[in-house]
Amino acid sequence: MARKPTGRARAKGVLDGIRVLDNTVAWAGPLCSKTLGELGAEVIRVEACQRMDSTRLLFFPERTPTGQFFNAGAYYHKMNRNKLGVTLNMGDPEGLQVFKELLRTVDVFVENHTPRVMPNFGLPYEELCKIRPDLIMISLTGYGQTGPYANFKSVGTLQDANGGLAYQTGYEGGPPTRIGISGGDPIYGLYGAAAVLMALIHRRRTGQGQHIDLSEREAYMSFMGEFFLDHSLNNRSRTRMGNRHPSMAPHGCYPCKGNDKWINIACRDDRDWAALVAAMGNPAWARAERFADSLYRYQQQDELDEGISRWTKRYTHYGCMERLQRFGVPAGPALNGKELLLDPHLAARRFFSYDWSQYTGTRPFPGATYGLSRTPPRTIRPAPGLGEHNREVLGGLLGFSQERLRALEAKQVIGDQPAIELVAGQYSPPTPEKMLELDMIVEYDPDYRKVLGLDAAPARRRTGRKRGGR
Amino acid sequence: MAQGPLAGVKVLDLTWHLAGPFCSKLLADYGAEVIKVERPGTGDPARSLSPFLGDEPGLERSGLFFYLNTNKKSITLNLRSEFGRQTIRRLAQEADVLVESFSPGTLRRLGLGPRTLAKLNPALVITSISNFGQTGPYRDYQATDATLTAMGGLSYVTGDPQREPLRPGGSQANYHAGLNAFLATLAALYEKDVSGEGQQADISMMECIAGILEYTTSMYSFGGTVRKRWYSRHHMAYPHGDIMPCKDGYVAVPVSRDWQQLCAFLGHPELADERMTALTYRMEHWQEFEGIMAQMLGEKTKHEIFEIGQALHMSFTMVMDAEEIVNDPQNTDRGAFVTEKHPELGPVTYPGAPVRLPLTPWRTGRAPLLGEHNHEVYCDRLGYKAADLVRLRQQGAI
Repeated sequence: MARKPTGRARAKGVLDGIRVLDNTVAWAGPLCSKTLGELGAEVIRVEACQRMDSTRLLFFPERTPTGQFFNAGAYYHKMNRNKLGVTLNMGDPEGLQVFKELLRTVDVFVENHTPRVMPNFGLPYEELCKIRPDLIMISLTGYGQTGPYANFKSVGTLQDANGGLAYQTGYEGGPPTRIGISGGDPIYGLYGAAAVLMALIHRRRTGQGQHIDLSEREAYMSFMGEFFLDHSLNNRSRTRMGNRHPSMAPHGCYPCKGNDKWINIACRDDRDWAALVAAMGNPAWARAERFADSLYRYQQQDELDEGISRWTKRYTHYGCMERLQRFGVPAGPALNGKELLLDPHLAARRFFSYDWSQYTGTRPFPGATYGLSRTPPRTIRPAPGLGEHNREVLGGLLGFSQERLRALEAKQVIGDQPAIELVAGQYSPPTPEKMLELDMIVEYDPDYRKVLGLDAAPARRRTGRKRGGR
Repeated sequence: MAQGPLAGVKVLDLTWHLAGPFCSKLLADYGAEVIKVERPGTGDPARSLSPFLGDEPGLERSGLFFYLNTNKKSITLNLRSEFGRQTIRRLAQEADVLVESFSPGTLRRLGLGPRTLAKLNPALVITSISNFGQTGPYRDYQATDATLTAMGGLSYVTGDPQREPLRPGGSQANYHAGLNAFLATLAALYEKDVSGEGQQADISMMECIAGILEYTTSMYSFGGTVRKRWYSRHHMAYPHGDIMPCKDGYVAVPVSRDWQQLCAFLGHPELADERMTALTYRMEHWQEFEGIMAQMLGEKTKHEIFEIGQALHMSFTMVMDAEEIVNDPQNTDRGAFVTEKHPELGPVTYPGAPVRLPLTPWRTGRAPLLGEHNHEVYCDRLGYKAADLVRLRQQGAI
């Protein structure tokens, strides 16, 4: 490849020169704009001191809300890196005026209110276009901009039920189950970033902006191809089958040595099964002729799983993976949060980025879920504190005088402190001991700072991870 | 007629199974011309994956293949033949994007490595999708979707704490990888418009899962607690996302910010006292509340709960099967499902546009038959004669 390596110099970003105004909360909206920021766009996040993003209050450093705790929540920090933070009370006419002045300077406006909200501010897309004619606006909602549910309230936690995934997830014979995350949120957050890129491609060709309509439920449904196609072709709904699979066997999650350690094993075909039998040391039960037949294996999975479990229990989950992979069997441990942070493969690929912020100190955050060789996604700044960049953006970019800034502060149109009463204790989670008792956690590790090297601080800070090189 | 935002973009599609085809499907549905290269005879192995019409397998009978290959053109080509390699080179020279999902290193062994391709066409965007990425110690490991949701950390936090980790339904790791590949491809295409240069995107399915775990790794890095699966519930509140039985099925219960409303809704306003309002208290005493909720929800149907809830701005949702979702009034009103005719499957109904761009619409379409576009691509575009195709077919090259 003729291209010169870029070395350690900061690579160019895909969206250098593009400015994004972000008026979103929680996960999907912030992820959409964070992704644009990771690709090089300048993202200005607008929030109100009167109505802060509730994720600011989720998971404090060392589990303790102290000082400016509203600036320290892990959830908020994960979703809002690469953004400048501005506060604005849009309920105040002056705040609305400032918003319009900001909007004039941006290419893209990202929002996740229900569809009635922007028109209630007197700012439907058509009005915004009078301020910025080629504006690309994207609205992320639960149900979309039109239809009988358009203005229904929605949170990502609940879309598993609506979109079809909960119906298919669960132990055999058990109730529908939500997956361990608000599964629709990362899907429509990334669809949002993709849609903005498509709209930017169109704008480059034609000069036209447009208003993108993104429904979480519709985005989620696009991930259920086989579910909806089985309905279309055969008029039925695939239901819960635990860790088993519609065609593969064995296909399960088996116990290993240690506290709550598990390995996933899947046999796609006869060759995988033969390799598994060899890896297990050719035990007599597995060599029995009846198991050579894939249909028999599928029908007798209880017996199969029992035999495999007897063998996996002798190994650690990583040890079992290494042995099975040597024989070419698809197998891997069900990793927990701590194990992921320490996993050698993710470490070799620098998946986690150790970033420093004045509010959290150094912490690892998952990196982008894609790599680009020449213009890699990068983290150039941590999540902003409340109103941290009011002066930089309103004074610098918009040229407001000190006088006007002070007046806005005095009227609480802008600010850097919450304008609502927050009782820190309200947001404290149960103690680690209580969490263990409730079975919410598997382990409390008081040494986590040492284990992750968090006190070795800024030297470990890494940015501009290089992946996908040629 | 308005065209998709990717009209004019040419994609050479060397992917198979689920993740790669989902990426190129999205490119095709938004307007790109996608030429899908399939193995002569058997085609993409996804043609042999269920669901099949009437449960009868057949290369043109897979619903999964249909869904993942809408709007593409199919040609057959043996990549291990000299003719195959030459054809890929020719097509890659004219393409904007090449998407591939082989095991890392396979293309290089075929003499079609990223460096070779970039020399032929420096503006080419190469999107590579694999289980674990193009680098790292697990690079060559074997995996299925279940391996990847486990190693990515999603299975560990799904299910009941006293039982084994649970695989999410469907093929989540594959779809996520396809979406990330789509996003990375668009980013590289946009940048190429500006700089004239291509690049390679590297998508690891394991990372696509490890990157979306919400607060799982944060609980450790911010507080030393190792999160375990905890039913259908969020770790920051109770109730929050719990799936509970009702009179005729199941509903998901909204976040506890709405606690006072929830109590009123359930007919127990007395539970809305201050102590009960605290997040921590409810989490620690969830069994008390669950009993009351179960009793009250059990008296109502899921539609009643959904409608009464929404009237109070409470975002209850119903657990729905495929039939209910397809016929849901919101989905029918918005045309969220579309129908296309296929020569062997007849009319097929599938999820429509995942995101709507009014000036540059998404398009419906069907999946191609195996080699359906051989004549168009080999003869009309590459200049072969019909007689050449016969010879190539006899040699097993196409």
